[in-house]
Amino acid sequence: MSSDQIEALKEEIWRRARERADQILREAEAEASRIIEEARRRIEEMTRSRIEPEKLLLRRRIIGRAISEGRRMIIMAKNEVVERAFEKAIEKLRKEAESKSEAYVNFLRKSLERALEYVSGPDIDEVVIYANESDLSIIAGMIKDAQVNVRLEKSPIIGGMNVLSVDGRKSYYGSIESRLEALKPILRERVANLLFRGVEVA
Amino acid sequence: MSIASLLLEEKKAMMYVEEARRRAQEIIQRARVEAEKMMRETADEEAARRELWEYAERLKEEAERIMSEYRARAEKIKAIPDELIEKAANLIAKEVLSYEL
Repeated sequence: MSSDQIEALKEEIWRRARERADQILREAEAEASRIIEEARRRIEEMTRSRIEPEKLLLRRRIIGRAISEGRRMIIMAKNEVVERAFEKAIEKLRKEAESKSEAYVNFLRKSLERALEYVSGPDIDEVVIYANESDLSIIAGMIKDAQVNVRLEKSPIIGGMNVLSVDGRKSYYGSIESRLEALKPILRERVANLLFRGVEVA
Repeated sequence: MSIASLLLEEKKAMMYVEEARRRAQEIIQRARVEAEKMMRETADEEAARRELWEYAERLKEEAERIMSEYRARAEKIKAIPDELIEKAANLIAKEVLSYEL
């Protein structure tokens, strides 16, 4: 065998050895990756089954509380604004009552009609009308033709009137304060619609 | 050069491959150790507690961001223009006096 042939054989031996070694190392790297990936997958599974439920509970508690507190802030802010509107409305109603505007006098008349219709009856001899002192003379002028005896009493109300039968069995609350209180639930909704339309929803 | 030197070369090449096999075993063994370490850390209660604590801290930050957004929205609501309040007050006064409701 010539030295060239021997040299060629040596090269072939080393070429095959290197190829085999590379293959062994490549396979080992692949196996190592597979082992790590498998561990990661199992860890994920363990985490999901053990920690995730606790995380979910934490999220519900912490974020849930923040959202509910935030919503409460929005509701409080809206209530504050609606209350401002009601306070302003009371100012306006006080001015209407003090100035004896046409709208206010009409309101007094309607209140009186309704009150007498509700409180009077065959078994009612006398009714007492409680009104603001400044309204008493106007009301006196309106009850001239009343079918029942009427007594007028002054009361520290803004306006309108509260009417009671003398025996106390029937009462009608038609003061501005009473009407505001009675209408508040409906008015709150309408006012909120007016104020917050297009602003935002909690 | 002779057949003997070829045999020697063959032996060296085999040792080279054996060395690769040894290194391959090391690689696989290192991966197994690493995988076991990862699994141990996951199974470790302290690590779980730490992870939950860190998660809770992140949630608290998120909660604070949510609250800030709500605070800003609440302030925007409170800053509603006076004209609108006036309009609402007129509506209330009108309904109280009108007896339509």
